[in-house]
Amino acid sequence: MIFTSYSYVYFLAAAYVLHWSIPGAWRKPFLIGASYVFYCTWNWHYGFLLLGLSLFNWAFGRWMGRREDNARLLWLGIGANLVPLLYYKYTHFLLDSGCSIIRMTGLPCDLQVPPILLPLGISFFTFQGMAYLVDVAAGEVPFQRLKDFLLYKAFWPQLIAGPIIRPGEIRAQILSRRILSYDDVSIGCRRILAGAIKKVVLADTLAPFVDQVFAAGAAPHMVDGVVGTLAFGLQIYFDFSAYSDIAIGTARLFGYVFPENFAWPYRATSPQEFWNRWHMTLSRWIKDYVFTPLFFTFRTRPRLAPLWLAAAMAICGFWHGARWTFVLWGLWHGMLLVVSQTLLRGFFPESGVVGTAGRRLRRVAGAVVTLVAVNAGWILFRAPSVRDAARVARSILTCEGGLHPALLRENAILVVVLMFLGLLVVQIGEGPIRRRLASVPAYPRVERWVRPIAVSLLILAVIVFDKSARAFVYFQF
Amino acid sequence: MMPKARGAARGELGAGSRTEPVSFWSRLFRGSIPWVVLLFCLANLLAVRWQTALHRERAANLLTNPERAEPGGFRYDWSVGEDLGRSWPRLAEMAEADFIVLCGMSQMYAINEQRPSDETISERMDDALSPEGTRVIGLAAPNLDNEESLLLLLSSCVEFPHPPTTFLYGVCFDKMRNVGVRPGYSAFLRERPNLLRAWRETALESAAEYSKASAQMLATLEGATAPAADDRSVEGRLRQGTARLLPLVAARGDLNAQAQLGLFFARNWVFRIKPASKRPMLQGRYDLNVEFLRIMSEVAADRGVALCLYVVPLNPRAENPYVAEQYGAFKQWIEGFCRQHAVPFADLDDVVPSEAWGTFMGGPDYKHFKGEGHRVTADALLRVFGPVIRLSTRGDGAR
Repeated sequence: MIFTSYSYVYFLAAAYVLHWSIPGAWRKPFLIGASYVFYCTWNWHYGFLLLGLSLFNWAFGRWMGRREDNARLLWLGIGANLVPLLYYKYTHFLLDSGCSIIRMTGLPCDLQVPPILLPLGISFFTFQGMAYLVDVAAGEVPFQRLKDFLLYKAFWPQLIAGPIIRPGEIRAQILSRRILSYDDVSIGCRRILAGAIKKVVLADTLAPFVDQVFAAGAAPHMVDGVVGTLAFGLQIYFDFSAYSDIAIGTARLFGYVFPENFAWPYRATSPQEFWNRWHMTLSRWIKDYVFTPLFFTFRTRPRLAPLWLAAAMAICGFWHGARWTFVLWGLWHGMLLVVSQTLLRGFFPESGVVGTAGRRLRRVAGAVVTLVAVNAGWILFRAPSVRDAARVARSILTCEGGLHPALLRENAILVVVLMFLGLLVVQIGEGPIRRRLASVPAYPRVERWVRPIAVSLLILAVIVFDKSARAFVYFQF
Repeated sequence: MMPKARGAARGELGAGSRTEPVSFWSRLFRGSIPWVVLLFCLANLLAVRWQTALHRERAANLLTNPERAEPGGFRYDWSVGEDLGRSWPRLAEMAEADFIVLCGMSQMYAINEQRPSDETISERMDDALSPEGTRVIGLAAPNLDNEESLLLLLSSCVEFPHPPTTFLYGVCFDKMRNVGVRPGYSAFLRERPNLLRAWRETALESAAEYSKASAQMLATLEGATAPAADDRSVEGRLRQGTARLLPLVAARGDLNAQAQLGLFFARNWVFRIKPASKRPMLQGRYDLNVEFLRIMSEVAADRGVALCLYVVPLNPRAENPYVAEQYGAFKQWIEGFCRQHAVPFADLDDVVPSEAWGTFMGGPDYKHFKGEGHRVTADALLRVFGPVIRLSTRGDGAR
């Protein structure tokens, strides 16, 4: 069930009405049941996997929480969480890579492994389970009641593609009774509408252009490469932030406040700031559960920190998918982070620093370099293979075809450029415009009239531009 | 602790927000939501009016009216690619006899300054050939690309009672800039297992020699068979059910087309784009379309269909949007290709005189003619390809 499908609209409406109509004591079991229905509409068999992992983590967490020495137990718990992920997501990759190594030695290797269907959201709920056990081992009080834990683990808005929520961020909300609030309804609906617009009107419009440029075997020219890469940068941002918006909005309708996942990432003035604005819950996860433990373990050798940073980002890439392109994408970002914090430390400004014209210029330069570097990374992220990524990169670097595109029509180029410029304008102008409007005395009165019209037009746009519910990019992870 | 009783839970609804003492319902009714609901209802009413007017306009339009006043009924895909499945049973009736297919872009069915007695190219050819026992079926759609013409060729071979004797395809240079299969054809493909099988087999057989076209065909197949595209899925049924309840949802296809048209005119206005503005070739797309033409010639040969290609007529008085050298190179290539593969070929570029063309956007239309243009083109096609058509109908080896 895709968030922008009609099935989801009906599901959400029914769940909302039922949830707030039944007695408070039934609401958590109801949400758990609804979450499993949501998950099982995709493939009911994998509902048992989710339930099994949930039961294991709950019981293991409670058991571990009662013991003093739980460091070894923690590894056992993490291993148990990783087994399904490794099997479903990485079996083919590991066997193929192993086979390639064997073949390099001259020995024959031809493994025929049947295709394995990847359970939806397994990367997300595995990371969530591991984080739970790590936090419990670090002193966090485990969930005592099974229904609380099941809701934490399976609550559908965050189940498939995050935000990756840590127990501490939602425990208090799960343990206390949620109350129907107008503010929650208002904010929730607005976030869902914003997400639908981003997905249906913006991301899905860009998808066909991106698919043309990054199709296996396509022969793009420089213009196709640049526009296609830019289009994918926009598509993945609109798509994934749309998913996060709808997830956050949906949770809000049921009284739960989720952490934010995006904060104008393309406004970042350094690679480090980009990761503080992009998929924030994942970057926090990687920092807290991969980089920090590595750094802490080898704290006597602080010079190795860049290595751990690169390793953490490579793991981040590998988490996205079992392909070398993702690993290289992670390494690219690891390298960007390392370089920006070492060799180019003076070039990228400290985040939040404003002041002189020189500093402003540095911020602009930092933003441009970061934007280009991040978009260059998207080539690796989107290309189906390293060879295809190299083909797109080569077309750009060699200015193949001059200014003549080979794949994209003029309309596609126009749409991408307009969207890119539009996003830039919104990013830059959003804050000042908001502040300026707030200072106009008549604004609240005007807004009262303008808002219903704007909302109605946006709903109309979603209906008109929606063709079929297209899956979110992050569903494949 | 919160109350657990049912009544208490109900009481929460009126208990209001956590931050303000004003009740939930009071804030709900004083906020934007009632206005949005009202505007939404209004938009639905407007959608009903707008779509009724649109249907009335369409009913008056020759192109999309299946009930056109003609004793034998329509003789071409009246939906022009939007809903081929609905036209197909009638066309299949025609295909009981020996038949040929005329396939191409909007030139095949659009009639400028139309008069009641005007007929399209395929209808004129049918008039001429049906006394000899051969029917002519028109399969055309706006901006038809070569992947779609391959789909129509395969459909004609697999989905009619027997394959056509001849498949006439009017190749248009600027359609070599298009790729992909439109939703109407995609739905047609999805609903027909034999066609799906033939499409997949052709894609796989072509993989070694025509890798790009093969990959594109498999992508088309994937799109056509995706669950989201299936009207019989839960999602599809919910969409249909919602469309029955909300006129706005029912009209979303037409509204989308209207929005696209608005954007098209806005783009033309902003960038001063005219029908004659040059549209350079897109090498990647051109190569893909060339591969599809090659596959078409092989499929036709394998299935015993005489494939005939011709370059469509253009208005000699209107400036066309082609880059002259590119267009020249294209015509040279297609002629060479047809000679090499023994595919009957004609260049009808200048066959229709300037007075037989209409106007478009304030200037001479370079690609769509009046009824007279249809007659001239039909005569030219019969003159050039008549011997091939008659030979193939008799099964004398022209295939």
